[in-house]
Amino acid sequence: MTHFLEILIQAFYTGAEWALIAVGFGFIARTTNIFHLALGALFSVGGYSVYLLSVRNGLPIPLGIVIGAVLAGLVGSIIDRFIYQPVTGLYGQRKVNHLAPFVTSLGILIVIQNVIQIWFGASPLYVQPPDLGVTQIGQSRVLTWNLLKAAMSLAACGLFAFWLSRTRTGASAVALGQNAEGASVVGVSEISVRFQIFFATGMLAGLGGSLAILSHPTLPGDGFPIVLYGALISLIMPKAGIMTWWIASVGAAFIYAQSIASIGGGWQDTILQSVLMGGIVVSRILIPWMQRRAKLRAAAATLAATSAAAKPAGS
Amino acid sequence: MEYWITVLTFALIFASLSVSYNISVGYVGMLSIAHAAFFSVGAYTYGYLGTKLGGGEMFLPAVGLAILIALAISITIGAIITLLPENFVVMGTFALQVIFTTLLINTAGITNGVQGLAGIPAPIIGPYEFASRTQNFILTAGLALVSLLIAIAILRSNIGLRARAVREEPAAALSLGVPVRLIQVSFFAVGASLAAVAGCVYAGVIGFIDPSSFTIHTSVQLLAMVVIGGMGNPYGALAGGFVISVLPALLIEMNIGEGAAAALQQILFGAVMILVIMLRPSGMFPERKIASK
Repeated sequence: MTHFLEILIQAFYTGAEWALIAVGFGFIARTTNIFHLALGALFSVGGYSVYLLSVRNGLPIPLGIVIGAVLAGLVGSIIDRFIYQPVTGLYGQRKVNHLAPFVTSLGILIVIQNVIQIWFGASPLYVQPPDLGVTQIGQSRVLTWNLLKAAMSLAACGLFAFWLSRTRTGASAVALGQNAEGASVVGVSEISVRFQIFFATGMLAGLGGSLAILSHPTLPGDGFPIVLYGALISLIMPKAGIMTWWIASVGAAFIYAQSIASIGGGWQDTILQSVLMGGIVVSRILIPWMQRRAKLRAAAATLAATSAAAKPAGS
Repeated sequence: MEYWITVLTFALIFASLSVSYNISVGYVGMLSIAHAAFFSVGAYTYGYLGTKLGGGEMFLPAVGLAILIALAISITIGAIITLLPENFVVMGTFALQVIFTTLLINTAGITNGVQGLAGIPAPIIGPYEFASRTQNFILTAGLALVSLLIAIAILRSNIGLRARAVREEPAAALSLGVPVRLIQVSFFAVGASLAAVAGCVYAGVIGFIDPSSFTIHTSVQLLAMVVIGGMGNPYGALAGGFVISVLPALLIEMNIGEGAAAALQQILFGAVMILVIMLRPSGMFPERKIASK
């Protein structure tokens, strides 16, 4: 039981980092149809900003986290305005090959991660988190910082969900995702809405990177596998809500931690990727197929009932 | 001179890989990020057979076996991922690549894990042994030529025309009776098989392989080669592969430190990928338009 609880707690604070990417990736994919892999680079921008500001320049860590997240948000908006928008066009008017935004996103990820590597070096960097002591949960002892980290991630995703559900920007973003041309007809400014959602999702990714570098040594390329996990997690349930993605991220982190605990290090990536891909196959192939089959059966039953009812009347 | 022969030899291997990658990405629009996985299938098949079961004579049997393994994996995976929406294919193959790299590291009984397979013998084809630098260059030039000829033959065939229809308008192609999924899976499998052959040659030429040569970064590098060269054009893919493979050697010649050279090379790849998509989406050598009769 203690072992299970320890893994669950570990999944809680590891999944909290992944969730900040999964939420951003899922929301951008839903509203703009772009697979925004560059979020992996924004993760590194946030983390390394905290290192630069707090370790090299002596700023307080909370201020470093805020500035890092804002910087990552700004980079996200700039990427959309000057790279994605010219490639994809606005209001769904320009038809592009679906590979183009993906390739540009991958290109941005590679450029930013390697610029960070040249600037800071290829060795992992770590920022000592504030000493908040240890918290006892059942028989497990957990660093209070890790609990605070999970709470910050949950709060950030909750705020994002609140902003989307209670503001005009949120409604406009959903409208753009469903029908970009229709949204433009009713006066939605795609440029403005996209600036805001890329800024917000960039901030989430930057916060993820900040929390990561405050928890364990981080490399410039660490955003790459995390954005891959985040992408697969959100694509299993592309229409799910923000908090569902958050919980799914914790679930994925639990599988990851459990694989290490039960099989040993080395296989966790294979197991998690296989489970996530299996989830996508089930959600995108198996379930739609079963739904189509159920609809066909229902239609056949209705037809049979109608013809059975019509026979006595006709005869 | 010998240094440049070696550089050109490896450039030809990657140019062949780029041509084979173009068959699935450029011809039929199926963006896979798992091409390095199929490359590793060939390299490890010959690496294992050459070191454990025999010498360079195992080269041709290894090529045959590698093609069979690559076909089996690509057809199985292709049949599943082509059922997914087109954007999801990318993520599916991304996952496949990660899984493959982990398998190479963890199945140490076959692959020798991170330590890799050393002492892979020079390939022997009939009476010829390809052991010296010049012989290796001839072997890789032959590989590049065969890959290019196959790619051109596919492109000019009736099925190549259908593949273009599948890439441009899958729904319209389906309505005209084109077997969209069959074509997608077939092209994916042909590309994978050619990558496996390139892997056998690579292992024979380099003599040592480890998982670091077949990671997701290799797949991304291949994507850069095809995007920069020109998707859908076999000559473009060949040129893209060749140029990008020679680039690191040029950076090292310019006395840029090895670590910085690798990072600079990546930045250059990424930046050129972005610029090509923004300014010249069809690449350096665009695909020829089909003349209407």
